[in-house]
Amino acid sequence: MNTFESQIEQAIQRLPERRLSWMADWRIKRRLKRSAEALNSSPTFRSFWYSLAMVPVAMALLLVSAGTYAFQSSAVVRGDFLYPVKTRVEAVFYPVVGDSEERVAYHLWLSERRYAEVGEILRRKSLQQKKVAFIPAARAAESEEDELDRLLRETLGEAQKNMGEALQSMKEIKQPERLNVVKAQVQETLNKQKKVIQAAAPVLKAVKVQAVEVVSDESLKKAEAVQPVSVPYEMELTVVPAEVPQPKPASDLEELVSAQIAEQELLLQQIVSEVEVAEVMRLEVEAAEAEVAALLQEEVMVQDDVVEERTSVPVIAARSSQVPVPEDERGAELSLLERHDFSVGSERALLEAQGEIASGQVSTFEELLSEPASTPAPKKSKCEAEAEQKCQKEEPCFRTVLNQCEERENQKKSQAGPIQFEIPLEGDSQPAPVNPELNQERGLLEQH
Amino acid sequence: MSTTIFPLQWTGFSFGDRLTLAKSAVMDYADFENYYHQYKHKIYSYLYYRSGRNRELAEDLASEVFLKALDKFESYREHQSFQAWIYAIAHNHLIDFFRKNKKTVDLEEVENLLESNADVDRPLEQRLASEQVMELLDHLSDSERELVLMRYHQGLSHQELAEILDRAEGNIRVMLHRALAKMKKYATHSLAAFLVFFLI
Repeated sequence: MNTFESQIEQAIQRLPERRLSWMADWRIKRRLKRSAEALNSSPTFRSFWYSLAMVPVAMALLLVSAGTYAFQSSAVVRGDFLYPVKTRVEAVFYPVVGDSEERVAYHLWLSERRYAEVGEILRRKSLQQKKVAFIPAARAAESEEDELDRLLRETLGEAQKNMGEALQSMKEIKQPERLNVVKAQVQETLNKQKKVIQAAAPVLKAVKVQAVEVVSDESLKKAEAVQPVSVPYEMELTVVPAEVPQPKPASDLEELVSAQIAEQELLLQQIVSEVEVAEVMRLEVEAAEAEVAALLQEEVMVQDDVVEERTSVPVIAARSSQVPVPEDERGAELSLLERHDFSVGSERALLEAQGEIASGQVSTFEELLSEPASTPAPKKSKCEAEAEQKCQKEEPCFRTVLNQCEERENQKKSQAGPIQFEIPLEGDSQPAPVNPELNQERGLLEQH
Repeated sequence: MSTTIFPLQWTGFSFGDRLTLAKSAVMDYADFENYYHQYKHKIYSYLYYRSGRNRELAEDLASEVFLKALDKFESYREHQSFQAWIYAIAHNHLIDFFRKNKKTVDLEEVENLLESNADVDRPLEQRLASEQVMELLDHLSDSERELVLMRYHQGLSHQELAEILDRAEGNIRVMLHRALAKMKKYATHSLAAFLVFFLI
């Protein structure tokens, strides 16, 4: 290499090295990074995990959208791919914690949805469907009829089942006001269903699928001559109402469903009447209870004013013999009943007390009131004490003093004028007069 | 180093394959970043001298060249010289750029930029020498100027030049020889003119 060339070479090499400014460097690096991330064909680590995370999200979105479509659309009917999704979504809405009213509403809603599906099934099958079958057209039509019949039966069966469950849930409602509201809803649904059934009756009465063979007769004959069974038939299938309803296995569908609806209406009326009767009885019981409570309250109030002398056996006896009892004696009766540990107002206490008196266990109401446990030894009367004190257990003297004392006491009592009642013991021949007030009271007690 | 930065098809890859490819993509981007740091000034310098010493234009061109390189990084093979590969991209990009913007390069602006800020700090002798060299280079054709700059300023070998310009190595030598001869001729002419002017 000559000198000039080497000089040129050195001169060029000495040209200053240009350096990228830091600003331009930062800008280029940022652009490179963005480009690396943004390129679709460049799955960097970040974009890979992002796309991986998107897979379940996309699946969830797909499921949600499919479920929403299936749930919202009445075009999804039994036999469709999305029908199980629809029923699952419906089951989610079952009111687990709801009351009977909500359950009735839920089952009514389901029943109405099934009826909507019936309409969709009939509409779908009514459209002319061009099909290619490998069986004769008549057989294909029969198969279509069977399929249609099965779909209708299952769908209507489920609707009726839901209606039945709604009625069962309705039985649990005891409040007449709420029951009337629910009854109106059920009745409305039943009316709607009746209309649907009536509208679909011509089809339901005789489900008939008409198959029109499109192929020409000649070609058909030729084809059948060669292969009678496996010849493909092109045909149009359509559901037509039969001109003359012929009894078929499917023809009872309309009658069946109508009868079920009638039964359900009857059951509805029955449930309502049962609840109404129960409500009337409940109101009567409440009224009787209120009346008894008022009566007893009144008795408690007068209890303090009752004189102890009047709480004698004759009062009880007079009660049991249906002799009119003055108001003042009711307090004594109450205390008697309480001592016998029976509920207030129980007639059983009265009868028991009467039995004790009749059997001679006690002679007075005071004795009856006295606790046997607390008074184990019989108390000595005033006259006995007096005679014992005076005569010191000398028999003749004792008797004389005792008689005198008793006469004196009797005279005192007769002068004070206590109310005397006859004691109607067992075997008393005179019938006691019937007291209507007491009878009424007794009737209330029995009801209670 | 994996040579495939971007797996072209997702389908047909198992989960493990995808994970491996994704990891390798990340690693490859890191490799590219290393290359970028290694060659960013060289490429910028080359573009600077080739674009008429326009700093802003050279920065824009450098950015586009590296973006293009990232996009085509999958085509880069390990046995290749990265320097040759990236210079080839820069060379082709410049050709495209000049083809598209032939009339838009403002020569006056280029002239005004001859003395950039970087030149101010340099000694006068060096600046004069640089100006003389650049003046001589201006007498060369584009391809010759590019060849001379690449060879003597950027320090690329004949083999790399042959690879970049897609020519035979001998051809490159001949071209370089001719370019230098041309420069010598113009330098002699300018010296003679100078002497004549000085003597008169």
